[in-house]
Amino acid sequence: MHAGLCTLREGGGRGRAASSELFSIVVSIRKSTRPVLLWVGALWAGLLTAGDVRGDQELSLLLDDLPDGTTGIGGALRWTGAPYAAGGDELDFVPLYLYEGRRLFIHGTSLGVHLLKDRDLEVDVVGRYRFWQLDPSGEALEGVAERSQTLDGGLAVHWRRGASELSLEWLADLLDEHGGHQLDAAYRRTFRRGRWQVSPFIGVSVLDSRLAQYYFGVDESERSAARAPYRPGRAANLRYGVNASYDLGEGFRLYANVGVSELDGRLFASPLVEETLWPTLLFGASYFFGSVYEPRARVPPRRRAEWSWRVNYGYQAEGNIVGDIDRGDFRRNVVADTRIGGVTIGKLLDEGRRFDIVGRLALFRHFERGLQEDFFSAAAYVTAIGKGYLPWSDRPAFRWGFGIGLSYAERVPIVEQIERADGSRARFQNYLEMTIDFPLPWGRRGSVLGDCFIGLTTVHRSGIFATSNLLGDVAGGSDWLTAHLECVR
Amino acid sequence: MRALTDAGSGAGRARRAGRIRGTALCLAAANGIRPHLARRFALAGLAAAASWLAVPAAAGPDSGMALDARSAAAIERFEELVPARYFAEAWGYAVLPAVKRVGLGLGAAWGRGEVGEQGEVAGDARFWQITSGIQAGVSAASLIVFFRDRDAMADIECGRIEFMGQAGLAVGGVGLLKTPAYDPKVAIFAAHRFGLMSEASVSLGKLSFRPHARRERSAC
Repeated sequence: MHAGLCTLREGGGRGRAASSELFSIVVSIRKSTRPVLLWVGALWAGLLTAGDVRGDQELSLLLDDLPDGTTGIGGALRWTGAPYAAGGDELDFVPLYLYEGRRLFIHGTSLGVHLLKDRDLEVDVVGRYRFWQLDPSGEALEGVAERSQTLDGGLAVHWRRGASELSLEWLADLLDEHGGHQLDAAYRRTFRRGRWQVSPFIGVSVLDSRLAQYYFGVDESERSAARAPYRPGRAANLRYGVNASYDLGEGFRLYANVGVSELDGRLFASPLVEETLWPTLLFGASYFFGSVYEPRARVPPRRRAEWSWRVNYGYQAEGNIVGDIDRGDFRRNVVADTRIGGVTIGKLLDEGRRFDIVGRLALFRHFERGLQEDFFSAAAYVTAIGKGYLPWSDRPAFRWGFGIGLSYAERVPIVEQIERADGSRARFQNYLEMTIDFPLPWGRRGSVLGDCFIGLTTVHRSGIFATSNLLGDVAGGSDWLTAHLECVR
Repeated sequence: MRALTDAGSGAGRARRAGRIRGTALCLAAANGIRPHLARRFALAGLAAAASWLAVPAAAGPDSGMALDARSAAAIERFEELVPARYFAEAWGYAVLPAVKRVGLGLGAAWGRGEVGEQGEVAGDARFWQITSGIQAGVSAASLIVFFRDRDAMADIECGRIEFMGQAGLAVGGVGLLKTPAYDPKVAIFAAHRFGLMSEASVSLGKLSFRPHARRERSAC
């Protein structure tokens, strides 16, 4: 079983603070929480200031034409034929959370900030999930250490001229898995006809010696009778393929990508490698809130500054978010009787006819009550929030919400460790949230408690039934039932 | 809103009764039933038809198509429960005399009724709902949906699925059901009829409208 990005580097000498629960949310922001906070900060900065990035050309989605502010959700099936001797072809589900803003972009497996964005030139800071991995569970690779997926980050520059685009991108490992860096140069030309877009590309990726060594080299410790140590040094792979999209109505877009990496001879010479071609296929679909054809003001001027804050606190539930908690099963988990408290900030992204789309960033403190040390997690997600109204009035009688996004935890929650008997666990997980709340009866408009709501929030983390490499290939998840207070400002 | 509970003109009623009597005689002859027995069947049928036709709750001054008896009875009940301004100011309404609800964690509700618009019975209404939440039991309630203006009413012509929520408690003939509206220009009131149910749920529901006469369709 290969471990995803999330299963790595558990613990690792991080300082812990034993603190009283809600108080510690505020006071125990220590060195160990910095990655979580940086992650939240980067996303939030983008949302507040609110393109497209090419790097992993084979996985890149054709989103250039979307107007700023477009938000979408979807999923894709990714197949890749691994070049390794042990095989390792993968069919994988990739959740697609899409946001195209003036400053921020989230394109499924990549996210970042546009430092400069105009018609011809775009400069981005980008973070992208690297799907490369080596699962040595087969006989052919016995004794070889596992190579894990990771998150890369760097700078990207795109220069456009008509339908053509030249891209240059530099990426380095952010999670210290391979510890190296990669330079990509690519050319693509996009043809648009009606609802179709077709975009062939060709490029070259230069891998530095550390990156090449991690995924293709053989260390001394991995030596065997049939396998000598091998150091490939710097290598350059040729990459080419075609990406396509088709608009199915105003909201849906379908994607089909096919791409191939031709491995450098130095990589092909590795004892680990058997194939010189490394093909990738991707088929996906996404739904965009609003129209993919017509740019429109997604938030009317009177609501442009609208934002919200929320605090919530609750317990680990016994049941699942769907099928149990939503039907009134509010039992506490007796095996992992833990608590969670959080602060969430939201920004209105789209005013809909029946529901609004709100971008949210949440920081949670997990109180593990002696089962393991307390820790932080963060979630970035979009929520649909609808209202039930009093008769012939715009005053809400209640609100409902459904959120979906990603969660990153500093440690794997104890309940996830206990419930996954196979030992699989991941810090990076899919995030779901369901809320229902009611206006405070004494919260008049314009007062301090005006537009404030109390209610219930169910917080859920899971790996989408072990279908996704991105989420560590884990099944099952964790659910917390919390009470919340939220105010819209 | 004008009265919509007129049973129709007396001449119309007589014509319909005559048609029923004639049909009964023809059926009797075709099945070899003797004429005097056929006449008795026909008279019995006529009496039944007359009683059915006479059921309409209230005859108003306006002519035109009338609400059926159950819808009219439901309206009468709502006139006691709902502030008069909703009847006076609504562009139109949908009345569902008996919405049946059943649930145990997951549930459903359904019902049929009629739609009135600007003093006329404009068509038939159908309603269904799939619910999820804290709920157990079965119940029935009358429902009335007031549309404040033409735009609000256009939504049901388009047959859109709406997200709704409801809370209620019913024990026998005593009960309460509250359903917030899915749109600020809509008001929904429920009147409990019977059942044994406790419910606090959210739902996806659809109220659809089938007009009696050809009309210009709203842009959906």
